[in-house]
Amino acid sequence: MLSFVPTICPYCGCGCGLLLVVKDGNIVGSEPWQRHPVNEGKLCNKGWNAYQFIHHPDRLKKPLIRKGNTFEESSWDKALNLIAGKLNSLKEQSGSDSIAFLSSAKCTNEENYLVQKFARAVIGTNNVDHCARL
Amino acid sequence: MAKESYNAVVLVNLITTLLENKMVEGILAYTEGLDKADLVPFFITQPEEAERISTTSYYPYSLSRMLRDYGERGKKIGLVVRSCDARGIIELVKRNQFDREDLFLIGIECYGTVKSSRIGIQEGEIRISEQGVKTGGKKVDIGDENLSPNCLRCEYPVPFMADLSLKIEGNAAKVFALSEKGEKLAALAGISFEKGMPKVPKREKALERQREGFEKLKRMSPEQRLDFWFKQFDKCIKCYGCKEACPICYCKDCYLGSNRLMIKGGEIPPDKMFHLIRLFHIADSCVNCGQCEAACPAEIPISLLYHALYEDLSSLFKYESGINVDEPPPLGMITEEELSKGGVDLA
Repeated sequence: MLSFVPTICPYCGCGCGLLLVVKDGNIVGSEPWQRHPVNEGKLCNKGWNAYQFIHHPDRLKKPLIRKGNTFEESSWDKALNLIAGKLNSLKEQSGSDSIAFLSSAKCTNEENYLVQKFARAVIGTNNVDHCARL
Repeated sequence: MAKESYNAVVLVNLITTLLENKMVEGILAYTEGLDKADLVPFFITQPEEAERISTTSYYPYSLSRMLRDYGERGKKIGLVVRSCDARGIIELVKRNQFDREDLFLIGIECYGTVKSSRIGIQEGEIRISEQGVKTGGKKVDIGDENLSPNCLRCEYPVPFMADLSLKIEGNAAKVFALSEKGEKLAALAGISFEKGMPKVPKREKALERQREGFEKLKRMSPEQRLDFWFKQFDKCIKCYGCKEACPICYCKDCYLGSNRLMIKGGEIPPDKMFHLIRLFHIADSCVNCGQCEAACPAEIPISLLYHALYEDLSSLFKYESGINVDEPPPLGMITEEELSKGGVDLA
């Protein structure tokens, strides 16, 4: 079985259209989506290879918590509790502006909105930046 | 969807027959994606899906390259091909990637691909013929600038290297059986057919455009020409799109990889040799499918460079790529004597 599924490239903020190639349930390739108005059938090197991380053996599927110089696999609940605790204690010790938030072009608009909302309304800082602001 | 075009009934019948008789495991063709002008590759395994195929020829992807990337040797596959797809497949067979017996090629005539986004086709299927362009039943003038430049130079509107070829004559598709396999299928499907290649008038216009394009390059002095291409290569963002999109670039381990030969990692634009290495590897076998140029975000007119050098090599070695599986690419078979001949000039 071979099918071609239209989607948006996950790498940067351009939002190029690509077709993911699904063969027997595995994603094996990405093709430029010719009809997409952003890229009109062209892709950059990342877009051409945008499928590779999906089934890559090195892909992280669980959160890792640093213990000294090593990382230990953990559950999402445990990792999020740890982060929330640290954010709280840093805010108490050094104030809200000791914390900054870096968001990502790989996220959706909505996710990026949530990050700045969380920074401003929950933590109380305007320290918000973005990896695509190069 | 398929009902809209003249060759639809015949094509759907042929595909259904191929699948019902288990002559192939599946058929690679095209279907409509999100709208009329969004054509995406489509792998058909069930006879009832045959109705969904798109029977227009202007689709922008190369099926030979889809076969190279996602096909498996040893599986029997049918493909609905244009000339450039068929020629790309024959070049892959020569390079020992697939066996010709495993592949069933149904050819459809093609007069060029067009970027659907450029002319905003929404109304209906677009039909490009020798007479012009029609969409939604209406004739539209899209002009040469919207057709792919390689297609304007293409001299092979009907794929004569397929097993069967369809040619629209008047309001009906005529079937030409070009191999024993093709004859067998047409007979099984109960379709009347003619043996051998249809008489297709030479595409004078295409040859004229070739001359125009190549002579523009040839009129330059060698220094000017080198300068022209080096300036073009300076636009390169090293996306490897030309390599990815080329049906003939089949190597898993490529000399264009970072730090493999002359190409430093992280250098943009890459060394001029990036383009020249690819050119030397492909030029004698280029099938002028134009996929490299279509994929290039920097819009370097690479298909012109490849086609121009191919034409020189083709006339020197009396060799046409993508026609006969028994004729190996000439630069791979070059003799000492041939090496000493003059006349090959890098366009």
